[in-house]
Amino acid sequence: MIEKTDVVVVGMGASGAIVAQELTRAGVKVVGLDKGPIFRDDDVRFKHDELRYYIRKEIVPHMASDPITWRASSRDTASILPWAVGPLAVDEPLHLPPSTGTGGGSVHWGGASWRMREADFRMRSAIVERFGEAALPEHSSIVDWPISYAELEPYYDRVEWEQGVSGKAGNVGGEILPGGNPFESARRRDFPMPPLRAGAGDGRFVQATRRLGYHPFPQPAAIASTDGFAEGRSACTYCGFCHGYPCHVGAKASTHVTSVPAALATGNLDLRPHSRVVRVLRDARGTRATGVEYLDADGVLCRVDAERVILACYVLENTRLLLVSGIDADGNTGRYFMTHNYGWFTGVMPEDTNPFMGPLTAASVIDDVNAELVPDNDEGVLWGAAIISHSGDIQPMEALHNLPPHAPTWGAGLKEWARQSFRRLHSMYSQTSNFPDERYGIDLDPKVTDPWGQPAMRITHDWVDHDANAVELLLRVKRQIAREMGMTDFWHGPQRPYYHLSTHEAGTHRMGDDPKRSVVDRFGQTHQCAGLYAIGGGQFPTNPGYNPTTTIMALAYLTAEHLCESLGAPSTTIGPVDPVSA
Amino acid sequence: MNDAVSSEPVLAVPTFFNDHEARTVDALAGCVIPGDAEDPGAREAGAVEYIDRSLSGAYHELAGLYRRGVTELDELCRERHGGAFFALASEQQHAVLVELDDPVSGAHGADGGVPAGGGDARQARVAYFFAVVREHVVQGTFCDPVYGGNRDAVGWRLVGFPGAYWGYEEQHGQLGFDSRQLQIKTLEDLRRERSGIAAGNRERTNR
Repeated sequence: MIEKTDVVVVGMGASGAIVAQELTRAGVKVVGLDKGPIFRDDDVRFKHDELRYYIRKEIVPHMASDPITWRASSRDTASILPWAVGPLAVDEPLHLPPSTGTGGGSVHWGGASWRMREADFRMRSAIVERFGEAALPEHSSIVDWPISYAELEPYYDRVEWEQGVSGKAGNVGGEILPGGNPFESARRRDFPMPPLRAGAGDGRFVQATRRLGYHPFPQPAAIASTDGFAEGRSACTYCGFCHGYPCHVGAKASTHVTSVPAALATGNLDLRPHSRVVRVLRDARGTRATGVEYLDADGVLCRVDAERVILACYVLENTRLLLVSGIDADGNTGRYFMTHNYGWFTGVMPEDTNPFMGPLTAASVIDDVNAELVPDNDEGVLWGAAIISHSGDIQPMEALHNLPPHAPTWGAGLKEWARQSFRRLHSMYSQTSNFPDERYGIDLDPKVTDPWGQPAMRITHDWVDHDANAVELLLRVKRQIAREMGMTDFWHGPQRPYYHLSTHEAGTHRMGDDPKRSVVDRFGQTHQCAGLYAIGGGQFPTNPGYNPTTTIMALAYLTAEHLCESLGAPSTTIGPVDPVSA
Repeated sequence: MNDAVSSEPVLAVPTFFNDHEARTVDALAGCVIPGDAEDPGAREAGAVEYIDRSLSGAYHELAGLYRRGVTELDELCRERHGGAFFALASEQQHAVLVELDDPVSGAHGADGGVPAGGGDARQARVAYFFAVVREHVVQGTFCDPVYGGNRDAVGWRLVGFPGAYWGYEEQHGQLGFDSRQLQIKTLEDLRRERSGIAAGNRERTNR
């Protein structure tokens, strides 16, 4: 049976659900396909279970069903992600692809809700202005984005006010406000909700960074800090089972509680879980998308024809689907794989901090060393990252997987460490930019297939000197803060980690105005194939030092507005908006 | 292999282990997080019961690794000290594990399977087996008790983790707050508490 609909959206996550919501509200008929389940309140109410979600990773893809291979260079043979298979692969779910099912990556996320800064949209220009063209690293392909901060600002505003973000403005219309981030780019108005209550250890971070001359501010979080933001959503309860877990009260802006129910309420969304898309269909000339083929829950091959096809299933699967569907005319699809090194840094405080309470994001940040504000240095580090305090959301097993190198891993010493230190932990992290690099990318693995015979994707990536130097530069700042906070012991993750996934992958279907040098345009439409869109972090031409999801959501609102216009449907947008004055 | 015939089984009704294996893994648990009646550790938490249930369920693909691991650990112990692992004196057990924990054995960090091993492949396999048991003992000590470990929440008591809380109040989030004052709640406790609240709400609505 061949069905016909207006638009098919593949992936009901952070971006796909927003597009589905906007289109269905405008009266467009949408078929929404997701390879995971539909999450309902009853699925997540008692999620307070570290073994189930953190150790056994119930809501993220597993390598048996969704294999990914990795190799450090094109000279190596790839194997299934070595850090993600076997009984000892029990650390961060963040070192795997994000959660599947309705809500997608916005289920597992910690809710860090960043607007990228003006300079992030013009990374190449900013680097060249400060360091000169000769400073651009060999093999890198650093570019400016085809869209500016000012152009995206109205859509950031929609994310904050429609999905629900808690925070404190630092720059409204160019006026620097006390208590916010003095380095943020101008916004039209404050957040709809005040910041979350910060975790116990965070006060020490704030005091220490102020004494050191930095400018701490509360992290913007897509987690409701107050009741009544939206129907069916309560304020955060500070349960502490947050990143890697679904939210039990709908406080976190996961699209399975925000956009998916809104889209379903229109009657225009036909939502199909356990539906695994295998191919994008094109017309005879190959220049227009006509639909998709997918395997339903019984493994039966189905086909949906549509005027528009939106791939919104995370940068990795988006790229794989583009490649298996032959959308690679100029050889750009899959190029420039980027991810984040988290620079995990943990210490023991003199007082109890109870790091198991509250969300990861209920904490402060310094932006003084982010992006183009990177301190002068002798190591050639061209781009900085925010340093983020991490005062909650750590359960016992997670803590025991992150022992200081000198702590015993078993025996009476381990027991004493756990007894004395667990309650006093405080962490920091940062997300250093990988630069787009012509040596690194995604292609189809020549041998490995999934259980349905579909080719696995193969990642080629390694950490380069700039990555390691940037991590080390920020570690120096973290050590300075740790000493000032009075940490009695502190340690950190590697400058060149064993993982090459962070749920912050980016870049492999780069957006740009030039079809010869990019895969999609600013609306996410592929240059090669009209009516086919690939949206999400894969659009990012560079991967700045913030969590990506809010930018992904803002771009999704932009894509949705463009789709409504192109389909002749009345858009629910706030209309043509004046760029906010800086 | 008649080492296990002399005393009470460690698990009343195992779902995977034979009595010898259960006893061996229980002894390993006691080495990973030692304890006694006064200051409970992984044995008192019932980590072996957690592992037994996992091997007949979620971790069934590791059945062979455990079966071979116990056998080869015992072989090594017989060569070094003349007896099966669980029958050794605690100093001898400790010495064996120190030898296995040597980084040269290559059992550390994230892994893609059993290490190939250099000069002594069996040694590498047993070291890897111990790394897996160590991880599972941690899980069996700090998981929710519904999984068969963390009996009487002894793991959570050890570290001051209050367990499955619907949420925390502002006063709990103050620097220096002693979390050991809070009553520990398991998932079962939390469900009971919430069903009470739901029932209360229904009563109010019905009136």
